[in-house]
Amino acid sequence: MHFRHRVICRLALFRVAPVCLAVLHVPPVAAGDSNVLSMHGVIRPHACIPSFANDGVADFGTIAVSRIRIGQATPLPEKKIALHIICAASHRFALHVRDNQADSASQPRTFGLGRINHEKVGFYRIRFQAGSIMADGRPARLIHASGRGDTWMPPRPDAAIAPAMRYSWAGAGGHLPVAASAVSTTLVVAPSVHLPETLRAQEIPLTGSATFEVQYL
Amino acid sequence: MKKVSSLLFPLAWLALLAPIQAGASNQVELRVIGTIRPPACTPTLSNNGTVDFGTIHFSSMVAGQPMALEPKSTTLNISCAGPTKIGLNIKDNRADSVMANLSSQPVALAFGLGKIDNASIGIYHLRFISDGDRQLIHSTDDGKSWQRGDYLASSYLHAWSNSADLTQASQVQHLSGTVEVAPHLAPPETLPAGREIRLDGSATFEVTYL
Repeated sequence: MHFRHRVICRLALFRVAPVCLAVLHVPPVAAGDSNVLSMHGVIRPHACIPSFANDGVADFGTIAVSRIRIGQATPLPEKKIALHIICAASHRFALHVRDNQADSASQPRTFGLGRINHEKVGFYRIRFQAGSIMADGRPARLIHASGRGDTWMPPRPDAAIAPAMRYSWAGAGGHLPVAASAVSTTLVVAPSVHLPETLRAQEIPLTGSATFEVQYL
Repeated sequence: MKKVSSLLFPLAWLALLAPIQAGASNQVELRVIGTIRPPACTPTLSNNGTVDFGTIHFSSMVAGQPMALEPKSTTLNISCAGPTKIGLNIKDNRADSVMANLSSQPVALAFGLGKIDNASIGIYHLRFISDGDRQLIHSTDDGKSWQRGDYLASSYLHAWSNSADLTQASQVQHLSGTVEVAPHLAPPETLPAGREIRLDGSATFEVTYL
């Protein structure tokens, strides 16, 4: 019997006592007299918590189908929702947005509104409201980089959030992510309903879901 | 800034106490919800929904026996702004007065006629007779499966099928049919004697969208 014990700790990086995540893998008993017990651990800072106003619900209410152009994308009035990220210590971090209904999205930089009878019912775009990002109480500038890249630059003004990108913030005039312990912004959610003729006669729930994740830089 | 720093400790503890949910606390979900409603539909009942059984004389009732009254009819119309997949719910506003064993039908199909001095006056059944080819169907599992049947019940979700396949609700734009109301009064000895008794049934018909 022998052990492999690997714990990756990056304690020095964080001021707040971090959490040791130990995952114990015990492989099934093999037909021999030796077993491998391997232990892997990752220390995560876990120190930045994102939260939305209104429990993260952007409710577009009840929309009469008579207001929808069947067979075409019909925009609904936009809604705004506040997003706050509070950290236990100052960090450089980025936001990544994952579409949990990606199979119902229909264009780049859009998120899906779900399917009924296998048919897509529409999509929505999310954008950071211009000038709404505050980092530690000071106005900050939106920057983005591709999912794995670290070339940061400001996006086109009012560009929709893309699931392939990561978003962070720079100081005035800067292009690189800055550390902050409290970031707030307002997101604008702009849905478009796009119903096929076959769905005209029934009640259609909109079921968009996106996960906003803090990634430490 | 003071407000923010006062939040730090609770949040740090939250992170410490939830090590198993790896990554859970650095994520948050945005839900984009709403409902597209199909064309509006309006149900109407003839004679403003009143079915009057006139005056019944106590002397015509037989002790120990419920009394079935001659059924009367009202017309149900449902009109939608466009073809719409609809359902119909019926809420019995006198459900607390339903009693068993007043008719040969299951008590699940009974609506209440109200109470007098805490005594149930009786029940009634509603039967739908379609003017066209549409067949009434009902579901007891919230629309997952449908069966054919002529009776309306407060525990059913009703719909109409115009195809040979009676397991599917069809679209409706205009629909009409006769609703036959068949009361069964409680045996006379269970009712207060020497007083006028008003039949007081009340049910609300509500169109829902499937």
